[in-house]
Amino acid sequence: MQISPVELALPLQPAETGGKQENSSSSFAEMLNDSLKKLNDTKVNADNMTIKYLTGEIQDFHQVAIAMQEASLTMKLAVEVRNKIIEAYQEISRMQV
Amino acid sequence: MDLFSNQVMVALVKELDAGTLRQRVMANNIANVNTPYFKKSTVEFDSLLKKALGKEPVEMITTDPRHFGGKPSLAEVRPEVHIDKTTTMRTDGNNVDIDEEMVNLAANSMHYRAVAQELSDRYSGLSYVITGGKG
Amino acid sequence: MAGFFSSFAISATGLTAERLRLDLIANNIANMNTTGRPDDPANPPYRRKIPLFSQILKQEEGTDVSQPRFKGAGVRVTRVVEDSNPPRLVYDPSHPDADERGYVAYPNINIVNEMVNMITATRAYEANVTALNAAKDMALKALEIGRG
Repeated sequence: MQISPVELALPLQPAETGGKQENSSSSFAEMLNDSLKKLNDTKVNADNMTIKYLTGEIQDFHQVAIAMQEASLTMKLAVEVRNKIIEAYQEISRMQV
Repeated sequence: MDLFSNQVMVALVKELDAGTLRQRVMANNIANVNTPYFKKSTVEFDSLLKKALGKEPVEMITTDPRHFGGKPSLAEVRPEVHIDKTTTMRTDGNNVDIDEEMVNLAANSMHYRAVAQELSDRYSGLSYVITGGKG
Repeated sequence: MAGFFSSFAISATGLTAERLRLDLIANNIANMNTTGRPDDPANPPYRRKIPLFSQILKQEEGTDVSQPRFKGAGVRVTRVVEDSNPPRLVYDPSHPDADERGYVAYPNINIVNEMVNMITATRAYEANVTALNAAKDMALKALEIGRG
């Protein structure tokens, strides 16, 4: 008898995010920190992959290419988020009170 | 925000790893086509990937990491190398079929290039969306 | 690609080994008529040379679990041995190498055998070239991943 796996319509959210959203100000800072850490991780990973490729530990170039793409895209995302934040701040500071 | 952990991206990356492993295994088979008693190796990945993506019926659903016999997770799935020990008609004990290897070389190369192109396109798409159409 | 165990390196070992085999076959054919005096160690006939192929196996060194574990690293010629079959004796008393009974020792080389081996070696050489080109195509495509 064949049993098909149950497909979930939505991915399960870990329980912690519900708790974080209650306290909005500190969660934003945490989120930023988290994102910066992830950004740094992708860059470190790209550097490691490059070194491994140069020393011959990794034979396949695509692993390096993928790591560099991930770092590059994460960086672009961070830059765009920064731009949006600055735009929002400038808009708020321009508001007549 | 995690841009790269959706199923398709992970599967594409793993497919590239499997492609280079297949190439290496076939190159080794071909280099040893005249080595006495050499037995060829093959790579199994497609069926493992199918199972991990949930496209095949499984024996048991696991709810706890300590359960075993369930579906392998996509992040952990890995190609496997098997040695084909079947004997052949050749008197030197070697079972490499050079024509089969040549055909599979071509197929694998095409497949790899298609997957690399797909991945490349997805990265370009992400880049375009992230930069709002500017890059 | 750097490193000894990449697909390029594996195909390179195949090319080297088959090329060596072809050289030995050419040498065998060229020396088909290099005679000697029978049972005279100071004047032996040419003996057919045969390469012994064996596969190269990589030592298990990887601490990196993400790299797949495949040990094959190509092929190499471990030794070149001489054919141990006795030489072909031909009755030819007028030959300078004839012994007291009038026999000359000719190398035990069969031209048809050598031709067949030559074809096998050539075919294997070409297959290694095909494998090399496939690896090259894949590598070139991988370089394009960042470029789009």
